[in-house]
Amino acid sequence: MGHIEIAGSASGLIPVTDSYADHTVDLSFAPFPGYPVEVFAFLRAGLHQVVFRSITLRAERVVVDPTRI
Amino acid sequence: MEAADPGGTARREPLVGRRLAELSERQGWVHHVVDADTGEVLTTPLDRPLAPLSRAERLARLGHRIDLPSPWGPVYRLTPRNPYQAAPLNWVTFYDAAITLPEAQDEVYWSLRRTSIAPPTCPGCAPISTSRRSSAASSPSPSRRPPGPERWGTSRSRDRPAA
Repeated sequence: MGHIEIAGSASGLIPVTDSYADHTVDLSFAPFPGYPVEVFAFLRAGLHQVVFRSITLRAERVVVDPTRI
Repeated sequence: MEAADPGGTARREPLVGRRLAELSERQGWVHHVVDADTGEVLTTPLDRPLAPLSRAERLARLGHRIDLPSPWGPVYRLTPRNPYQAAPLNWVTFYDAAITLPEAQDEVYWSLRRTSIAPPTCPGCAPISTSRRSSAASSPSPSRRPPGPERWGTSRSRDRPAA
């Protein structure tokens, strides 16, 4: 078992099992207002071969939480 | 006269390519849904490639509603061959890759030793970073900076050309 660690504007720990597989990671987070978004992926112990193909970025719609108004 | 190949890419590429071809014979698929604000991760092994309906269902479990069939808003895709776009400004940077764009494919490979353990502060252990700069910002919030040497990832990102 290995991991890919997501850090920066977003964070998370993606588990990767021993078998070779195509991993799709849907990562969502609220960016810190007024600051750039920077996301890092760290290859952690347990990974042997990694292939990166693409990253897709999309801004979600702003949702106002009515309970906080 | 042969071109310089300081990284030995020409020697590594056939070996790594063959190894990946062997591994792909046992190909599987996995979908991870990560709520980066809470750290919650849902991992689902699949017996076939990811499909949009089940993908949206898993996203909904973390409170993200995806309208199908088409997502709302513009979508920007960065790849090893197209790692940069000017508007809106986005880019992806690769560090310590074993092979970049092998045989004209739009991919980047990392080949890691089985015994290697990347310490959190290793300056060469962050292989991918992507940035999206807002016009008013100059640095991320301290609480949201990556672990390890904070200037490492961000300073390199700032070396990229501005729009």
